[in-house]
Amino acid sequence: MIVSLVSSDGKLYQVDEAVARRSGVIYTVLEDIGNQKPIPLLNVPSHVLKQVIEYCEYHRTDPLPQDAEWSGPARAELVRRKAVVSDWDKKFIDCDQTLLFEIIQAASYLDIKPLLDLGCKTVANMMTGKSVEDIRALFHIENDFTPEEETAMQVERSEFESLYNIMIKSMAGGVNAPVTSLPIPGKARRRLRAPHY
Amino acid sequence: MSANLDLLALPLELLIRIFALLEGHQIVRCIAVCSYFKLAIENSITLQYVIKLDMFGYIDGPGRADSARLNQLERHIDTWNKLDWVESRIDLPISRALLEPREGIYAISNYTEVICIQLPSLHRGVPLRMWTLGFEFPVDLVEIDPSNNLLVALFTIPRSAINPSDTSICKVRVMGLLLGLADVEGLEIWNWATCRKMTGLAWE
Repeated sequence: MIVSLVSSDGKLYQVDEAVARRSGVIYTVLEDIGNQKPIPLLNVPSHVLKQVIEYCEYHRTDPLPQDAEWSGPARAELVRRKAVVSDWDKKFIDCDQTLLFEIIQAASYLDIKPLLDLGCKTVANMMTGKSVEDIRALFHIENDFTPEEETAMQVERSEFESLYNIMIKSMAGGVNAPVTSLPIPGKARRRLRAPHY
Repeated sequence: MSANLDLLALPLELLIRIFALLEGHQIVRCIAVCSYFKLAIENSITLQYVIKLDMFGYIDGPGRADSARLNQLERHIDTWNKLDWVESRIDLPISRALLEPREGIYAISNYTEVICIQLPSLHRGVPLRMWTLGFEFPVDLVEIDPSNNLLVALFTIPRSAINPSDTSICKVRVMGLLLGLADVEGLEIWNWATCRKMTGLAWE
């Protein structure tokens, strides 16, 4: 069966039902209202919808994600999976920033969790290991703090970082390294396994 | 959607979702980028929780990071910082020197049983628990690794049975997937998950 989708700028897209059902929102619409009329997607412009459909076409046979919470262990699982993004996904998400953020927003709006995760992971990866100035430059963010605010934050941050470094050093000594420890590139870090919070 | 969407145009919950994929110290760094980042991070319980965990060298456990868990963690950190302790006495069923606990659980061999004692924790809401496991052989050595759901119970023929003057004992330790056995003759390293011997070393 074919489902008709209409982008915010009025373009009509026709996709297989299995592809459209990758989106939690469209899935619900099809269940509740059925497939008589084209479904208007008011927040998704055509150039983004095209991308989203391409992603859903490629992943049409993937198992649908469970409705898991994304904090706690689910978050840890995401971090673990951060390293394993398939080549196709990598190529797909390798686009300019504007489109990347639009895809994230569309994935959130349409409730396509794997695509949302992919987008968020990509942005998080861009930030990893970068300094404050690097992040500002990367995302064209202006520093909107007053000099006073900035000094106050710097003090706080250096306190945190020195505390953090002491902790890392004390741990590198040799407490049991967890079997499931996350590989952290560049740093031989070990975490205390004992108290799971 | 504007033609030129940037990171700051993302709704707060999406920004928080992205930050939650970072390590705690990286999240702290992001606070200093701009006021919108600061607002997002300082108002997100999840992110505050991740930062605190990372700062104290802990890893996330099961459950959702809500304000109750954040409070619990903060109290725990505070108690450690002040070394503020509470005395509680536990009567043990046997009188034997205890090894160090593994993740808050002691395992003591007592002939054909292994007695496990879970130490209570006020801040983590862990109650005191004591239970016994029965075996069909006398357990000489016991080692546990709760995070891997592993309990190793060994039965050894004492050397004194062969040579009464030899009273040496064997030691066992589990680290991750590896299990080490050491006695006067040497050391053996096993992978307990595959039950394969990895390496051995004889003392000179």
